Amino acid sequence: MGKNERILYNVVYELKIRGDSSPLLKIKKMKTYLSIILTILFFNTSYSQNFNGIIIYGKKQKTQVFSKTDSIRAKEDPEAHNRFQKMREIISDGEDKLNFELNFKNNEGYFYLKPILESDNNKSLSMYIGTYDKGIYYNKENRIAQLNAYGELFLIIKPKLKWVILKDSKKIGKYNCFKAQTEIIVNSKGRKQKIIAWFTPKIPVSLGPLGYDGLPGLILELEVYKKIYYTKKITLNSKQELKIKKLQKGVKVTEKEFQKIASSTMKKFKKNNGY
Amino acid sequence: MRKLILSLVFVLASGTVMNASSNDETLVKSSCFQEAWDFGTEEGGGDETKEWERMNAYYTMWCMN
Repeated sequence: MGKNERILYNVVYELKIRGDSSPLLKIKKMKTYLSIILTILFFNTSYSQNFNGIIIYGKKQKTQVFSKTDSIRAKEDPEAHNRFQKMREIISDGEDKLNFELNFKNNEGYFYLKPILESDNNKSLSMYIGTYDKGIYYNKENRIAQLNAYGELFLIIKPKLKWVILKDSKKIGKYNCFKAQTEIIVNSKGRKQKIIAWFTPKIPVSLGPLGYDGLPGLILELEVYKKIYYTKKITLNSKQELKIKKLQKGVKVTEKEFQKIASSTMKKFKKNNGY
Repeated sequence: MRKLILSLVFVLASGTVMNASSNDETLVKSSCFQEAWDFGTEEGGGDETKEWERMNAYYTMWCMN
């Protein structure tokens, strides 16, 4: 039962059980209770209608761990190893320049990559812009990601997440954040990946970067595989115009269906040596 | 994925033996594709779309010239 429902319940209970026998007094009491209820409802509605925000996130590489495969490659094929390392550096440097915006109003939100101009300093943008970074729309029922992959534009309906809130906490800016963990399935063979989020109940919006939602507060930091999305700027109750785009273009598929498409496309791709 | 890569390596290796006279450029390209594939596999963490995206980036950077 919500806070407002509980207040309403108590008021009705009082009127029913402890009601005075005098009809005049009863009406007076009812008036008082009604005005209290209306005031609560008014404030609650106006607060939730105006509760919006713009959150700017950055993206960075997690501390790089030198894997076993890396050590073997470094010994057996130093040139290839150098190319791998160089490529990781290029991607990581590029990602440092990216800014993402989460615009939300009540429980509806839109996460997208802020456009950047291609210059001599940031050539080949497509190299470090992730397929999933382009646009995700969420509301109470759905999380819909729009992505351009395998020569087709898709609208992927993401499944609901099951979070486990852990005891760990840390401060991000002025906000106390709590750690939460979930697992997602990343391919059609059922491979799992751990996702870690740091959320703050101080900002009562159950949204976050990259389509991750469903926690009792805004996600300020998110760890996905080798990447970290972190908060750069928080603007609450912004007077700026919000960009909340209800994504509609693209072939609608569930995440499972999309993973099957990905798997069969990659098989064909591999079979034909990249053609 | 490992089986796939192994089978592809096998196919590529046998192809190389069979077509010993084929030109060097094709060989360089296919081994570069394999390298790009490995990069994608390592950076994508099992997510085939991420693997595809990273492999493309690697191929564009190192195999296109």
